Amino acid sequence: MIDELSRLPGIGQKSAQRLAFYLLKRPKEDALRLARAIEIVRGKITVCERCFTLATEQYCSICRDPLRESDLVCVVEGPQDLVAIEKTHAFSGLYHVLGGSLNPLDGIGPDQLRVRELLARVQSDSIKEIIVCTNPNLEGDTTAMYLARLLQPLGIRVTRIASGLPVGGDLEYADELTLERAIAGRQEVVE
Amino acid sequence: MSSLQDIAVILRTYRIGEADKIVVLFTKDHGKMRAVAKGSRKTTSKLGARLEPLGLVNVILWQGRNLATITGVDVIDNFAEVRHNLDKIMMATTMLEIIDKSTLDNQENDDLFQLLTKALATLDKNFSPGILGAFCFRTLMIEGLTPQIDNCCSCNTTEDLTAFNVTVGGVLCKNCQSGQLISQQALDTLKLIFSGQLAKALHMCSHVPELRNEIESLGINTLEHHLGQKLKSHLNLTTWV
Ligand SMILES: [Zn+2]
Ligand SMILES: [Zn+2]
Repeated sequence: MIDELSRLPGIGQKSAQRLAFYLLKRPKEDALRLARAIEIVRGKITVCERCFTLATEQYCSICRDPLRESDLVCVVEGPQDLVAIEKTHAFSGLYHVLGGSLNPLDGIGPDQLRVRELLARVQSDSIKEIIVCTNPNLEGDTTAMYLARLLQPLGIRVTRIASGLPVGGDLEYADELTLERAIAGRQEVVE
Repeated sequence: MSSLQDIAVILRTYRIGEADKIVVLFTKDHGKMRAVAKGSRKTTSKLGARLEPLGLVNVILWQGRNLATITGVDVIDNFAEVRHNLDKIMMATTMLEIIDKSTLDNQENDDLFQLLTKALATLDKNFSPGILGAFCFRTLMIEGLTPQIDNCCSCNTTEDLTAFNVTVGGVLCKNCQSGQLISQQALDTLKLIFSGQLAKALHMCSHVPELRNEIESLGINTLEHHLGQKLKSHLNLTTWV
Protein backbone atom coordinates (compact mmCIF):
# COMPACT_ATOMS: atom_id res chain seq x y z
CA MET A 1 0.00 0.00 0.00
CA ILE A 2 2.88 2.37 0.82
CA ASP A 3 4.40 1.65 -2.58
CA GLU A 4 1.10 2.38 -4.33
CA LEU A 5 0.54 5.63 -2.42
CA SER A 6 4.08 6.87 -3.02
CA ARG A 7 3.42 6.73 -6.76
CA LEU A 8 0.90 9.57 -6.42
CA PRO A 9 2.19 13.01 -7.47
CA GLY A 10 3.76 14.98 -4.64
CA ILE A 11 3.74 12.00 -2.27
CA GLY A 12 7.13 10.78 -1.09
CA GLN A 13 7.94 7.60 0.80
CA LYS A 14 7.44 9.35 4.16
CA SER A 15 4.04 10.87 3.32
CA ALA A 16 2.92 7.54 1.87
CA GLN A 17 3.80 5.85 5.12
CA ARG A 18 1.87 8.46 7.10
CA LEU A 19 -1.21 8.09 4.85
CA ALA A 20 -1.07 4.30 5.06
CA PHE A 21 -0.89 4.27 8.85
CA TYR A 22 -3.70 6.83 9.03
CA LEU A 23 -5.95 4.65 6.86
CA LEU A 24 -5.15 1.59 8.96
CA LYS A 25 -5.83 3.39 12.23
CA ARG A 26 -9.27 4.65 11.15
CA PRO A 27 -12.39 2.42 11.30
CA LYS A 28 -12.41 -0.12 8.47
CA GLU A 29 -15.48 1.56 6.92
CA ASP A 30 -13.61 4.82 6.27
CA ALA A 31 -10.89 3.17 4.27
CA LEU A 32 -13.36 1.05 2.31
CA ARG A 33 -15.45 4.12 1.50
CA LEU A 34 -12.37 5.72 -0.08
CA ALA A 35 -11.61 2.55 -2.01
CA ARG A 36 -15.19 2.41 -3.30
CA ALA A 37 -15.18 6.07 -4.29
CA ILE A 38 -12.01 5.55 -6.32
CA GLU A 39 -13.47 2.45 -7.95
CA ILE A 40 -16.75 4.15 -8.91
CA VAL A 41 -15.19 7.33 -10.28
CA ARG A 42 -12.39 5.54 -12.10
CA GLY A 43 -14.87 3.16 -13.66
CA LYS A 44 -17.17 5.90 -14.92
CA ILE A 45 -14.70 8.51 -16.11
CA THR A 46 -13.69 8.60 -19.73
CA VAL A 47 -12.38 11.32 -22.00
CA CYS A 48 -14.72 13.67 -23.87
CA GLU A 49 -14.60 12.80 -27.55
CA ARG A 50 -14.64 16.42 -28.59
CA CYS A 51 -12.48 18.36 -26.14
CA PHE A 52 -10.62 15.52 -24.35
CA THR A 53 -11.34 16.66 -20.84
CA LEU A 54 -12.58 14.15 -18.28
CA ALA A 55 -16.20 13.18 -18.78
CA THR A 56 -18.74 10.63 -17.63
CA GLU A 57 -20.42 10.37 -21.04
CA GLN A 58 -19.35 10.53 -24.68
CA TYR A 59 -19.21 14.33 -24.43
CA CYS A 60 -18.41 16.37 -21.32
CA SER A 61 -20.98 18.64 -19.67
CA ILE A 62 -19.42 21.74 -21.24
CA CYS A 63 -19.54 20.35 -24.79
CA ARG A 64 -23.16 19.31 -24.20
CA ASP A 65 -24.22 22.75 -22.93
CA PRO A 66 -26.10 24.53 -25.79
CA LEU A 67 -25.49 27.92 -24.17
CA ARG A 68 -21.72 27.78 -24.61
CA GLU A 69 -20.26 29.71 -27.58
CA SER A 70 -19.15 26.99 -29.95
CA ASP A 71 -17.02 29.19 -32.22
CA LEU A 72 -14.65 30.12 -29.40
CA VAL A 73 -12.23 27.45 -28.19
CA CYS A 74 -9.82 27.72 -25.30
CA VAL A 75 -6.77 25.47 -25.63
CA VAL A 76 -5.37 24.21 -22.31
CA GLU A 77 -2.61 21.79 -21.37
CA GLY A 78 -4.64 19.64 -18.99
CA PRO A 79 -8.08 19.17 -17.38
CA GLN A 80 -6.86 20.90 -14.20
CA ASP A 81 -6.36 24.12 -16.23
CA LEU A 82 -9.91 23.85 -17.56
CA VAL A 83 -11.20 23.61 -13.98
CA ALA A 84 -9.20 26.70 -12.99
CA ILE A 85 -10.62 28.74 -15.89
CA GLU A 86 -14.18 27.52 -15.24
CA LYS A 87 -13.90 28.81 -11.67
CA THR A 88 -13.46 32.37 -12.98
CA HIS A 89 -16.84 32.27 -14.81
CA ALA A 90 -15.13 34.57 -17.32
CA PHE A 91 -15.15 32.21 -20.28
CA SER A 92 -18.23 30.97 -22.10
CA GLY A 93 -16.73 29.07 -25.02
CA LEU A 94 -15.56 25.47 -25.39
CA TYR A 95 -12.24 23.86 -24.57
CA HIS A 96 -9.59 21.68 -26.13
CA VAL A 97 -7.23 19.73 -23.86
CA LEU A 98 -3.86 19.29 -25.56
CA GLY A 99 -2.44 16.86 -23.04
CA GLY A 100 0.72 18.87 -22.45
CA SER A 101 2.77 21.50 -24.23
CA LEU A 102 5.40 21.54 -26.95
CA ASN A 103 8.61 20.79 -25.15
CA PRO A 104 11.57 20.52 -27.51
CA LEU A 105 13.97 19.75 -24.67
CA ASP A 106 12.02 16.60 -23.91
CA GLY A 107 11.33 15.83 -27.54
CA ILE A 108 7.59 16.51 -27.15
CA GLY A 109 6.37 17.70 -30.52
CA PRO A 110 2.89 18.14 -32.04
CA ASP A 111 2.60 14.39 -32.58
CA GLN A 112 2.71 13.72 -28.84
CA LEU A 113 -0.13 16.22 -28.24
CA ARG A 114 -3.73 16.45 -29.44
CA VAL A 115 -2.84 18.90 -32.19
CA ARG A 116 -4.18 16.81 -35.07
CA GLU A 117 -7.48 16.56 -33.18
CA LEU A 118 -7.55 20.34 -32.77
CA LEU A 119 -6.87 20.81 -36.46
CA ALA A 120 -9.70 18.41 -37.29
CA ARG A 121 -12.08 20.37 -35.03
CA VAL A 122 -11.06 23.64 -36.62
CA GLN A 123 -11.70 22.19 -40.06
CA SER A 124 -15.08 20.62 -39.26
CA ASP A 125 -16.68 22.88 -36.60
CA SER A 126 -17.10 26.55 -37.37
CA ILE A 127 -14.48 27.88 -34.99
CA LYS A 128 -13.56 31.56 -35.28
CA GLU A 129 -11.13 32.04 -32.44
CA ILE A 130 -8.65 29.91 -30.51
CA ILE A 131 -7.45 31.25 -27.16
CA VAL A 132 -4.19 29.60 -26.17
CA CYS A 133 -4.19 29.21 -22.38
CA THR A 134 -1.00 27.21 -21.96
CA ASN A 135 1.31 27.92 -19.04
CA PRO A 136 3.25 31.20 -19.23
CA ASN A 137 6.63 29.50 -19.63
CA LEU A 138 8.96 28.62 -22.51
CA GLU A 139 6.99 25.49 -23.46
CA GLY A 140 3.61 27.20 -23.21
CA ASP A 141 4.79 30.12 -25.34
CA THR A 142 6.33 27.79 -27.90
CA THR A 143 3.00 25.95 -28.12
CA ALA A 144 1.13 29.21 -28.64
CA MET A 145 3.43 30.34 -31.43
CA TYR A 146 3.26 26.97 -33.11
CA LEU A 147 -0.56 26.91 -33.00
CA ALA A 148 -0.64 30.42 -34.44
CA ARG A 149 1.59 29.32 -37.31
CA LEU A 150 -0.60 26.28 -37.89
CA LEU A 151 -4.05 27.84 -37.60
CA GLN A 152 -3.77 31.45 -38.73
CA PRO A 153 -3.35 30.49 -42.40
CA LEU A 154 -6.77 28.79 -42.08
CA GLY A 155 -8.33 32.12 -41.21
CA ILE A 156 -8.63 31.38 -37.50
CA ARG A 157 -7.94 34.13 -35.01
CA VAL A 158 -5.34 32.83 -32.55
CA THR A 159 -5.00 34.74 -29.28
CA ARG A 160 -2.91 34.17 -26.16
CA ILE A 161 -4.03 34.89 -22.60
CA ALA A 162 -2.37 37.99 -21.23
CA SER A 163 0.44 37.59 -18.75
CA GLY A 164 0.76 40.13 -16.03
CA LEU A 165 1.37 40.96 -12.44
CA PRO A 166 -0.29 38.99 -9.67
CA VAL A 167 -3.18 40.92 -8.11
CA GLY A 168 -2.18 42.34 -4.75
CA GLY A 169 1.55 42.25 -5.47
CA ASP A 170 4.05 45.10 -5.49
CA LEU A 171 5.44 46.20 -8.85
CA GLU A 172 8.96 46.68 -7.53
CA TYR A 173 9.18 43.02 -6.57
CA ALA A 174 8.07 41.68 -9.93
CA ASP A 175 10.55 39.70 -11.99
CA GLU A 176 11.78 41.14 -15.30
CA LEU A 177 10.10 38.58 -17.54
CA THR A 178 6.66 39.13 -16.01
CA LEU A 179 7.10 42.90 -16.02
CA GLU A 180 8.23 42.90 -19.65
CA ARG A 181 5.09 40.97 -20.64
CA ALA A 182 2.84 43.14 -18.53
CA ILE A 183 4.18 46.21 -20.35
CA ALA A 184 3.90 44.57 -23.77
CA GLY A 185 0.31 43.53 -23.02
CA ARG A 186 -0.79 46.91 -21.65
CA GLN A 187 -4.37 48.06 -22.20
CA GLU A 188 -6.15 51.34 -22.59
CA VAL A 189 -7.44 52.64 -19.27
CA VAL A 190 -11.23 52.85 -19.46
CA GLU A 191 -13.10 54.89 -16.92
CA MET B 1 28.87 24.01 3.09
CA SER B 2 29.47 27.23 1.26
CA SER B 3 27.90 29.89 -0.88
CA LEU B 4 29.00 30.63 -4.43
CA GLN B 5 28.14 33.17 -7.08
CA ASP B 6 28.44 32.75 -10.83
CA ILE B 7 27.02 33.73 -14.21
CA ALA B 8 24.98 30.96 -15.82
CA VAL B 9 22.75 30.02 -18.71
CA ILE B 10 19.72 27.96 -17.65
CA LEU B 11 19.82 24.81 -19.74
CA ARG B 12 16.64 23.20 -18.50
CA THR B 13 14.43 22.62 -15.49
CA TYR B 14 12.74 19.58 -13.99
CA ARG B 15 9.67 19.68 -11.81
CA ILE B 16 10.15 18.13 -8.42
CA GLY B 17 7.74 17.82 -5.51
CA GLU B 18 4.74 20.12 -5.21
CA ALA B 19 6.26 23.45 -6.14
CA ASP B 20 10.01 23.05 -6.59
CA LYS B 21 12.22 22.90 -9.64
CA ILE B 22 15.60 21.40 -10.27
CA VAL B 23 17.50 23.79 -12.46
CA VAL B 24 20.36 22.71 -14.69
CA LEU B 25 22.77 25.62 -14.96
CA PHE B 26 25.75 26.03 -17.25
CA THR B 27 27.94 28.33 -15.20
CA LYS B 28 30.93 30.28 -16.40
CA ASP B 29 33.41 29.23 -13.72
CA HIS B 30 31.98 25.99 -12.31
CA GLY B 31 30.68 24.23 -15.41
CA LYS B 32 27.33 22.48 -15.44
CA MET B 33 25.55 22.37 -12.08
CA ARG B 34 22.22 21.17 -10.76
CA ALA B 35 20.43 23.12 -8.07
CA VAL B 36 17.05 23.16 -6.36
CA ALA B 37 14.87 26.27 -6.55
CA LYS B 38 12.45 25.88 -3.68
CA GLY B 39 8.87 27.03 -4.23
CA SER B 40 9.74 28.34 -7.68
CA ARG B 41 6.65 26.95 -9.41
CA LYS B 42 4.28 29.01 -7.29
CA THR B 43 2.94 32.01 -9.21
CA THR B 44 4.04 34.27 -6.37
CA SER B 45 7.64 33.07 -6.54
CA LYS B 46 10.20 35.65 -7.51
CA LEU B 47 12.64 32.90 -8.37
CA GLY B 48 10.28 31.17 -10.77
CA ALA B 49 10.25 33.41 -13.81
CA ARG B 50 13.94 34.14 -13.48
CA LEU B 51 14.72 30.46 -13.78
CA GLU B 52 13.15 29.69 -17.13
CA PRO B 53 15.36 27.82 -19.63
CA LEU B 54 17.37 30.11 -21.91
CA GLY B 55 17.92 32.89 -19.37
CA LEU B 56 21.39 34.30 -18.74
CA VAL B 57 21.47 34.96 -15.01
CA ASN B 58 23.62 35.91 -12.10
CA VAL B 59 23.02 33.21 -9.57
CA ILE B 60 23.84 32.66 -5.91
CA LEU B 61 23.94 29.06 -4.76
CA TRP B 62 24.19 27.50 -1.35
CA GLN B 63 26.12 24.30 -1.66
CA GLY B 64 24.93 21.73 0.83
CA ARG B 65 26.08 18.17 1.20
CA ASN B 66 23.93 16.93 -1.67
CA LEU B 67 22.25 19.22 -4.19
CA ALA B 68 22.94 22.96 -4.23
CA THR B 69 20.06 25.34 -3.47
CA ILE B 70 19.44 28.56 -5.38
CA THR B 71 19.18 31.45 -2.96
CA GLY B 72 19.29 34.38 -5.38
CA VAL B 73 18.89 35.10 -9.10
CA ASP B 74 19.27 38.24 -11.17
CA VAL B 75 18.50 38.26 -14.86
CA ILE B 76 21.29 39.54 -17.11
CA ASP B 77 19.52 38.76 -20.40
CA ASN B 78 16.27 36.93 -21.11
CA PHE B 79 16.85 36.87 -24.89
CA ALA B 80 13.33 38.19 -25.34
CA GLU B 81 13.55 38.21 -29.15
CA VAL B 82 14.40 34.53 -29.15
CA ARG B 83 11.42 33.75 -26.93
CA HIS B 84 9.06 35.58 -29.28
CA ASN B 85 10.08 33.71 -32.42
CA LEU B 86 9.29 30.04 -32.98
CA ASP B 87 12.25 29.37 -35.31
CA LYS B 88 14.67 31.07 -32.95
CA ILE B 89 13.30 29.13 -29.96
CA MET B 90 13.74 25.83 -31.78
CA MET B 91 17.35 26.65 -32.62
CA ALA B 92 18.12 27.95 -29.14
CA THR B 93 16.65 24.90 -27.38
CA THR B 94 18.74 22.63 -29.61
CA MET B 95 21.83 24.60 -28.55
CA LEU B 96 20.85 24.17 -24.89
CA GLU B 97 20.43 20.44 -25.36
CA ILE B 98 23.79 20.16 -27.15
CA ILE B 99 25.54 21.89 -24.24
CA ASP B 100 23.67 19.78 -21.68
CA LYS B 101 24.61 16.55 -23.45
CA SER B 102 28.23 17.41 -24.24
CA THR B 103 29.23 18.54 -20.75
CA LEU B 104 29.81 16.78 -17.45
CA ASP B 105 28.81 18.21 -14.08
CA ASN B 106 31.20 20.58 -12.34
CA GLN B 107 33.73 20.82 -15.17
CA GLU B 108 34.50 24.36 -16.13
CA ASN B 109 34.51 25.01 -19.88
CA ASP B 110 34.85 28.68 -20.58
CA ASP B 111 35.15 28.24 -24.36
CA LEU B 112 31.77 26.50 -24.53
CA PHE B 113 30.27 29.09 -22.21
CA GLN B 114 31.46 31.91 -24.46
CA LEU B 115 30.21 30.07 -27.54
CA LEU B 116 26.74 29.56 -26.07
CA THR B 117 26.27 33.08 -24.76
CA LYS B 118 27.56 34.63 -28.00
CA ALA B 119 25.35 32.39 -30.14
CA LEU B 120 22.25 33.24 -28.08
CA ALA B 121 23.05 36.96 -28.23
CA THR B 122 23.52 36.77 -32.01
CA LEU B 123 20.28 34.87 -32.45
CA ASP B 124 18.53 37.46 -30.28
CA LYS B 125 19.77 40.40 -32.35
CA ASN B 126 19.06 39.12 -35.82
CA PHE B 127 17.90 35.98 -37.48
CA SER B 128 20.92 34.13 -38.84
CA PRO B 129 19.61 30.87 -40.27
CA GLY B 130 23.07 29.28 -40.37
CA ILE B 131 23.81 29.79 -36.72
CA LEU B 132 22.76 26.36 -35.45
CA GLY B 133 24.98 24.57 -37.96
CA ALA B 134 27.90 26.84 -37.12
CA PHE B 135 27.24 26.27 -33.41
CA CYS B 136 27.42 22.50 -33.87
CA PHE B 137 30.80 22.65 -35.60
CA ARG B 138 32.24 25.17 -33.14
CA THR B 139 31.16 22.86 -30.29
CA LEU B 140 32.90 19.93 -32.00
CA MET B 141 36.01 22.06 -32.38
CA ILE B 142 36.08 23.03 -28.70
CA GLU B 143 35.65 19.38 -27.75
CA GLY B 144 38.62 18.43 -29.95
CA LEU B 145 36.44 16.66 -32.50
CA THR B 146 37.02 18.87 -35.55
CA PRO B 147 36.31 16.82 -38.68
CA GLN B 148 39.07 16.67 -41.27
CA ILE B 149 37.96 18.73 -44.28
CA ASP B 150 41.13 19.70 -46.14
CA ASN B 151 42.05 16.31 -47.51
CA CYS B 152 40.46 12.93 -48.07
CA CYS B 153 40.33 10.84 -44.90
CA SER B 154 41.23 7.76 -46.90
CA CYS B 155 43.85 8.65 -49.58
CA ASN B 156 44.82 12.15 -48.40
CA THR B 157 44.22 13.87 -51.72
CA THR B 158 43.01 17.48 -51.71
CA GLU B 159 41.29 17.11 -55.10
CA ASP B 160 37.63 16.32 -55.78
CA LEU B 161 36.40 16.18 -52.20
CA THR B 162 32.78 15.16 -52.62
CA ALA B 163 31.57 13.28 -49.55
CA PHE B 164 31.40 13.63 -45.79
CA ASN B 165 31.40 10.63 -43.50
CA VAL B 166 31.17 11.00 -39.71
CA THR B 167 32.43 7.53 -39.02
CA VAL B 168 35.74 8.16 -40.83
CA GLY B 169 35.98 11.64 -39.31
CA GLY B 170 35.67 13.96 -42.27
CA VAL B 171 35.63 14.34 -46.04
CA LEU B 172 36.35 11.79 -48.74
CA CYS B 173 37.33 12.19 -52.38
CA LYS B 174 35.39 11.05 -55.40
CA ASN B 175 37.25 7.72 -55.52
CA CYS B 176 36.94 6.88 -51.83
CA GLN B 177 33.52 8.40 -51.29
CA SER B 178 31.05 7.04 -48.70
CA GLY B 179 28.62 8.62 -46.25
CA GLN B 180 26.71 11.65 -47.54
CA LEU B 181 27.56 13.96 -50.42
CA ILE B 182 28.81 17.43 -49.61
CA SER B 183 28.67 20.50 -51.83
CA GLN B 184 31.70 22.66 -52.58
CA GLN B 185 29.86 25.59 -51.04
CA ALA B 186 29.33 23.67 -47.80
CA LEU B 187 33.04 22.78 -47.73
CA ASP B 188 33.95 26.44 -48.16
CA THR B 189 31.52 27.39 -45.39
CA LEU B 190 32.98 24.79 -43.02
CA LYS B 191 36.46 26.20 -43.70
CA LEU B 192 35.19 29.64 -42.73
CA ILE B 193 33.61 28.24 -39.54
CA PHE B 194 36.79 26.42 -38.49
CA SER B 195 39.01 29.41 -39.19
CA GLY B 196 36.84 31.62 -37.02
CA GLN B 197 35.31 33.64 -39.86
CA LEU B 198 31.80 33.12 -38.51
CA ALA B 199 30.28 36.33 -39.81
CA LYS B 200 31.26 35.36 -43.36
CA ALA B 201 29.92 31.82 -42.91
CA LEU B 202 26.59 33.06 -41.53
CA HIS B 203 26.38 35.55 -44.38
CA MET B 204 26.75 32.76 -46.93
CA CYS B 205 24.09 30.63 -45.22
CA SER B 206 21.60 33.47 -44.98
CA HIS B 207 21.61 33.84 -48.77
CA VAL B 208 21.30 30.17 -49.68
CA PRO B 209 18.63 28.21 -47.75
CA GLU B 210 19.87 24.81 -49.04
CA LEU B 211 23.36 25.61 -47.76
CA ARG B 212 21.99 26.41 -44.34
CA ASN B 213 20.13 23.07 -44.25
CA GLU B 214 23.20 21.19 -45.47
CA ILE B 215 25.50 22.67 -42.81
CA GLU B 216 22.87 22.20 -40.11
CA SER B 217 22.18 18.55 -40.88
CA LEU B 218 25.93 17.81 -41.22
CA GLY B 219 26.52 19.46 -37.85
CA ILE B 220 23.63 17.74 -36.09
CA ASN B 221 24.56 14.33 -37.54
CA THR B 222 28.19 14.68 -36.56
CA LEU B 223 27.27 15.75 -33.02
CA GLU B 224 24.73 12.95 -32.65
CA HIS B 225 27.38 10.50 -33.80
CA HIS B 226 29.85 11.67 -31.15
CA LEU B 227 27.22 11.94 -28.41
CA GLY B 228 25.99 8.47 -29.26
CA GLN B 229 22.37 9.66 -29.10
CA LYS B 230 19.74 11.65 -30.97
CA LEU B 231 19.06 15.27 -30.10
CA LYS B 232 15.45 15.41 -28.92
CA SER B 233 14.93 19.09 -29.47
CA HIS B 234 15.83 18.99 -33.15
CA LEU B 235 12.14 18.56 -34.00
CA ASN B 236 10.79 19.39 -37.36
CA LEU B 237 7.55 21.19 -36.63
CA THR B 238 6.24 21.42 -40.14
CA THR B 239 6.50 17.93 -41.61
CA TRP B 240 3.42 16.19 -40.30
CA VAL B 241 0.68 18.67 -41.18
ZN1 LIG C 1 -15.95 18.20 -24.02
ZN1 LIG D 1 40.36 9.53 -51.33
